Amino acid sequence: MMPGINFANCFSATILTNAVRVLREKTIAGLEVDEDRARELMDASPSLAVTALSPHIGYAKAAALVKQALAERRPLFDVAKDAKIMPEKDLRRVLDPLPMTKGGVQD
Amino acid sequence: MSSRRERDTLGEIEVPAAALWGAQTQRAIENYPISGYRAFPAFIRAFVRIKRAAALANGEAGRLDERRKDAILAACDEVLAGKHMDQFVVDVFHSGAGVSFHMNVNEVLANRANQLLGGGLGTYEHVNPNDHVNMAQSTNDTTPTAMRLALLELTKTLCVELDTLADAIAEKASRYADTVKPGRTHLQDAVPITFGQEFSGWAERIRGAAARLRAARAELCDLGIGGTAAGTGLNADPQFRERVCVYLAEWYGEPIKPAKNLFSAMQSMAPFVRIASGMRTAAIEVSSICNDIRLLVSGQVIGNDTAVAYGAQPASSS
Repeated sequence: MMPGINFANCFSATILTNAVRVLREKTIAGLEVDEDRARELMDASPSLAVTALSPHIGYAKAAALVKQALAERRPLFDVAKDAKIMPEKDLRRVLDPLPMTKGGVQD
Repeated sequence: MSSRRERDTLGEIEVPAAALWGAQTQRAIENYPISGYRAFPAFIRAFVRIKRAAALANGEAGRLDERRKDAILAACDEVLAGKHMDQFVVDVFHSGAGVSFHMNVNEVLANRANQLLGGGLGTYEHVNPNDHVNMAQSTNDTTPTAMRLALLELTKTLCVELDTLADAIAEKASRYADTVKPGRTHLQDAVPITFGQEFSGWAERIRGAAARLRAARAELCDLGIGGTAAGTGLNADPQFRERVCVYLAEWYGEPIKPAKNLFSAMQSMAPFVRIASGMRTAAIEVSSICNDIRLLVSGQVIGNDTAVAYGAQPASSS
């Protein structure tokens, strides 16, 4: 039993050590984010809308705008702007995703 | 291939003429043609360091004379420098406590020590594998001790690699600290998150894996060496285990000490289950992060939003 236990543990340690090194050298070192694509997805995704708009126009109305944006395959910003729910300047601030990543309750 | 005739308590057996191993190893070669795998070098080094520390401790106890002690130390040093590694031939899968591999070590060191003292292979005229190389030891205390030492060596490198990986990921996290994207839950769009935040989670998970491994490693530092065959320490000098641990602590650079209870150290495989669990947990974290990377780089153009599922229930976030 003990030789088998030892072989399994030594084998695990060896392959895990090598795998972790190779992961760093071949994958993590060269990992780059496509920032343009990230912005594009952020603009296109209705994900933040309900959370961001609910405090201002209520959940039901926010959800309706998201459904409309998805159905028309248009950025939520455009749909919300057309709906004239608030001045464009305020809308831009409310839909800015970065502050939402800091947690807490948004203004 | 020419051979020499050796004798052990079971009788005579043919051993290859140039082999540094002896009768008991030869029997194991014939008894265990199981996997074809041989011992990891870290395990060989661990056993040889135990033999080296034991020779020093037995010398200090006045039980092993200078001439034999020096010859054993020289033989150990040759193996630790990478020589004779092809002489450790016992299949990894062999009897319960690892007697055959242990005797492989004793025989190789005894034969080499004999040669250094001008003796012939298989004669054991100067140094005997059982009486001198194995003095004050048993398979039952040396094997679990060698297992701990081998894993201390191997997981030390593993922990360093995990630290380095975590640093490399953390570097990416700070580079993309403000790059925002839609988050994902259940592979669907969710509230925004930055790549920096996501990557910082990966880095912390790898640091956590290293911390768990280090906690498990600490337990490997308690050695049962000196317990001999049953944990009572019969045939070992009372100071033997303390002396051996002092040497091993120095050579491994670890807080190695005699176990509080030698019976437990001999009976229990729990420390090995714990380190195995630490490695498995680390592997799961690495694998999970790799799957996240796989999703992030998936594409290039297909794969997203190509099917529609009927709504079964809404999400909980508001």
